[in-house]
Amino acid sequence: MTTQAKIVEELEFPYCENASEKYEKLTKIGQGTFGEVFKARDRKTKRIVAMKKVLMENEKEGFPITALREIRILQLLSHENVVKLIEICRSRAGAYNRFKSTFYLIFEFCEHDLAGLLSNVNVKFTLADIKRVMQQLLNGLYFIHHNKILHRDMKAANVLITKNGILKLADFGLARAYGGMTQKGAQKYTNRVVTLWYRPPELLLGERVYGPAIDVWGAGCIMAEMWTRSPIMQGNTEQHQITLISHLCGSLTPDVWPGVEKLDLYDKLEVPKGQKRLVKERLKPYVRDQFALDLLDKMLYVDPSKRIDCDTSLNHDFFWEDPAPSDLSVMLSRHNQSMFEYLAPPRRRGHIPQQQQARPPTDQHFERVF
Amino acid sequence: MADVVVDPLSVKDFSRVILTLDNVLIPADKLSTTPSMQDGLDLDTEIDLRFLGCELIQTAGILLKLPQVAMATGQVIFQRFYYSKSFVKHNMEVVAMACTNLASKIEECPRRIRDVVNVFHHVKQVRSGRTIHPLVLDANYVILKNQVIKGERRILKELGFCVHVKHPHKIIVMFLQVLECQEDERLVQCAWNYMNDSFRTDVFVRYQPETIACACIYLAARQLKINLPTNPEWFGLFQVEEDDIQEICLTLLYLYSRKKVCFYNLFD
Repeated sequence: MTTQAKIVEELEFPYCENASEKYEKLTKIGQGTFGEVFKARDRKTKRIVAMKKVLMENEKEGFPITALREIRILQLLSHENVVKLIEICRSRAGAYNRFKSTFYLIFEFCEHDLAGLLSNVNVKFTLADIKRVMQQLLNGLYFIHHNKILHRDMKAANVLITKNGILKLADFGLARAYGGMTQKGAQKYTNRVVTLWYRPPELLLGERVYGPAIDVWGAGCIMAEMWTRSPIMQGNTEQHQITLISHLCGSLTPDVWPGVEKLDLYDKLEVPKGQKRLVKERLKPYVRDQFALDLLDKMLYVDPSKRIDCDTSLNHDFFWEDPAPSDLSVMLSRHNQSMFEYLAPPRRRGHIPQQQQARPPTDQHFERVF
Repeated sequence: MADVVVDPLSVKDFSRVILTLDNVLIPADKLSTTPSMQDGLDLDTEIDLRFLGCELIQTAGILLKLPQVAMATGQVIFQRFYYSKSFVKHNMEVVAMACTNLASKIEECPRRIRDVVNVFHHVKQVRSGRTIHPLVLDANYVILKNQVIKGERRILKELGFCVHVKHPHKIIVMFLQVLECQEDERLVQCAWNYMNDSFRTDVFVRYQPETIACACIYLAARQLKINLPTNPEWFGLFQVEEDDIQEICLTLLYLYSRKKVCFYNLFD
């Protein structure tokens, strides 16, 4: 071994502990936006944690800005309904990894994710359970929006639930701060975010100046999914997704959404005309509660400026009429096995759409948009 | 990201330096014997190197068209890093480049490493008065670029990802508003200038940004002969001690009295 290699192997980083010395990997439990996720145990305290590996494959530009954002955002956010980042660990640099160490984000462990729970037919959510799930989800979302953060990847698989029934928003791999201004006016962001099935119409039509309403759309899709048990709009392409949205929420016209015609892709995509809004009608067979239908209708508004926000949603009658939101731990205590989407069998009806991950392109760095 | 809540979980106690997101100051005993001094570097050279590194980040930042906050962040990270690692073992130029690159990402205005390397190469030629040649993209460039990438990781590891910097820019404006001086453009500009220069010193690892903001206003008011309330003292309003203010002022004024160093003399 050269002396230089030896020096590198002996470097000490007291603020960033060695992952494999401190934690023991147990099983793989998921695939995050930028890396694999493992269940692991702290060798000393025996605490169970989740370890998320930071993928460094495309590391032409050094540490990925998306990972840096996730770390900085989670360091600042501390809320019961937001996943807790415990620390950041590294692997030791050595000849085996060409002297490039890997980083791991260490999170508190949650037993289930919502997609995993919904795919299991034995898990039954009562109306009171659903209220509790949505209340916690909107609470977490309200908190992050209040701190000027957009999640940008709302989907059932990113909503974690502990065995004690506490919901946590997770995977901030696409999240970013918003509301910044540049010399040229409001800052623009990439619209290539959010998993296709949960992507709001304004992003599909190319909007680059968007806000918290994009996460509310995703929350609305998740809420409907609590009854339908599978994603409500499973498009294969952006065009297909726009068609599905129009069939459910009515045509995207300037009458219901002033300014929609000015969006970049409005002329480039085929936007169905003459469709009636059928949100309540189509969801009624699944969702029998009229307050739930009303809230869903408001969350799935196509015009983002008229879509309900988290604060108003939390004050909606849905949460304040009987039955009151119930403690989820009672229902969850009937299930003693972890349920994650990654480990569950596919739960799609009919055709199985190709898994479309709305991820920034690999050379995202230079788009300078996000 | 305003209105943030600081999470106590990030409190870590290592070798009695407590680093948290809201406390990024380094204790006095750690400041008196720096890692570089332990490696036999004299204090004067160290001050020169710190000054030079920050100046390089500032100049490169201007050429890269970065906003001023990015340079400020880069400079603070640079100063912090060299209180835990030594100039003898970690090349100042590479670390300065890595800080510039990292800060551009932190402040949401990412630049390519290639551009950063290019600009540093250019600045170096200008400073030494040589004929300007474009950077040759040879094996040396590839090595240098990889050094910058590794330098960035090393900084992140060394600082345990505590890379938040609370900028005093806003604080200065806010304080001047409280003092009803925000209309006086000369005062605002002068205080602001002192603040930008203060990033070349290590005051940001020693004092809270509020204290530094007061010191810049203090110096600017004195220079422009503007009276600020003395009974009670205006800085008392912001819970800042006059001793600390004067200490910062001295550090800043020392900066202007120091002879500009030549880049190459330091390495010979």
